[in-house]
Amino acid sequence: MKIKTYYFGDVEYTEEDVIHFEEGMYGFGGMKDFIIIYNPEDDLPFHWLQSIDDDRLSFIITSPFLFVDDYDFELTDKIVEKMDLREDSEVVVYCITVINDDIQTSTINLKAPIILNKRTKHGKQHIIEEDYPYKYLLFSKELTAKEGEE
Amino acid sequence: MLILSRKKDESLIIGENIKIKIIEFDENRVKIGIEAPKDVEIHRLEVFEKIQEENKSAIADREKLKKLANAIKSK
Repeated sequence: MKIKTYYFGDVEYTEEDVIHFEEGMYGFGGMKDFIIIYNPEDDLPFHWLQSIDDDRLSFIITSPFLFVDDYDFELTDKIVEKMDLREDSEVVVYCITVINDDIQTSTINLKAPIILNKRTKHGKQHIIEEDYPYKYLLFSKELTAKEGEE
Repeated sequence: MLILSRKKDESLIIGENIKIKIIEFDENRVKIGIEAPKDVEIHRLEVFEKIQEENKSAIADREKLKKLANAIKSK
């Protein structure tokens, strides 16, 4: 199958690539089916979660663990049941990135990660109870400071 | 908005399967217990609204991702 995307032109995908979000993403409840377009540049850990219902709707996602070593949250019984999660290995977690015009102020949303079940191809954006910010600076202060010195 | 008055340990029922119980309260804080079916999501309103806003400002823009890529590569 093929979809025309606003930012990437035609993208080929198969039924198996489709991730179904029963509740949609917060603020975009109507869009339930997405595909992940992986970054062609291997060294860039940012990918696109592209709606197949709305060609203009795509989010930039990344793995939170690359930016926060000890990021963790509890997969509550409710989530485990709702998403039919059976094994740890079938869980994939991404966070949404907000890229600002001033790149140094770009953030990731650690408060509402996207949880995917690889086996069932279901996804859910989940607001976690744990106390993480919804705007976490992608670039640590250390890096910014270093840049300032150059 | 419907306004009801309840005492400690009293409950409300919304529809047939959402129960809300007043657990404790003091001058400026109420602790409430909620029982709801698993497909009903419960969030603190201000957090929920912020996440919606955050998602809206996150709509991907290819140009911005290019800029981000450049910023990372220049590290």
